[in-house]
Amino acid sequence: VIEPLAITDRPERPLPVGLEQVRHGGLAGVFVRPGERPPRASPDALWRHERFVEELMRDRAVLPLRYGTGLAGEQVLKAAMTERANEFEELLDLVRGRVELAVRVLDDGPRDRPAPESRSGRDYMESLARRRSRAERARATLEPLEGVALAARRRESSGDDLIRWAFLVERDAVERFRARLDELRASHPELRMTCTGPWPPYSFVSGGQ
Amino acid sequence: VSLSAQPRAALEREIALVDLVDRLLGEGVVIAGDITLSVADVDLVYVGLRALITSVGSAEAKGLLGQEVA
Repeated sequence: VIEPLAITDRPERPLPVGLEQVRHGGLAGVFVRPGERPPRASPDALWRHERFVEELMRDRAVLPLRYGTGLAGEQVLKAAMTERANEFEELLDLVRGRVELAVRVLDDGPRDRPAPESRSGRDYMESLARRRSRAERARATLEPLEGVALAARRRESSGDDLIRWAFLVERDAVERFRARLDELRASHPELRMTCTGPWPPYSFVSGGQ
Repeated sequence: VSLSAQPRAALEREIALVDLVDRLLGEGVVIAGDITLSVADVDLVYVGLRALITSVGSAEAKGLLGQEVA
């Protein structure tokens, strides 16, 4: 069993220690052979995986793969690369030289939710409507960020955050993006935002699946 | 957990972990294979993260969130 990490270009580059690859044309399928234990969803295991992908990203374009998949062997990975070579090459062209930034707007809303015992259907619908309008305001406020990004993917969330937004940004535009975000923070102190990254372009390679 | 008592670096790492989990478990190119993560494993991570998001969302975090998270 192998655990695939990423599809990359530049298969001629030396790999970080601990990684192996199969090749198909100009593509490399990079994987690890996990030990006896299957990968666990512990923070340490997730960060170890992430460090490998980031290391690859230093000198090649990378399509990160979904975590937690085991393949019966490298021939399975190679077969997928052969079958989907065009798709992978197009995606690599899309993400080459670019990184992902993650922006999250946290919700102040829970405080205006009625206590469960006093909650009627009408209260509930009203609190949903207020939440939607807070999400819409946050979305409109963050729109200028799209001007610094090549692509954006937005998810409304049902959790304590209102919006999760992923931006695909040229590597050398990251500072500009953060400066723009700081301006928005300054002009909208009521919005609490987090920004993490740069990440490998996870949110821009999974389309259609 | 009082966030104001928590060092900023630790909070930032935890926010980054939430974003990492969203990406590793929900994004990325899918190649058909066997899922090697147990539902219990994933649930454990998410339970921890929900608690975290809730605490980050509390007013105490307000001063911390104005900063960039690397």
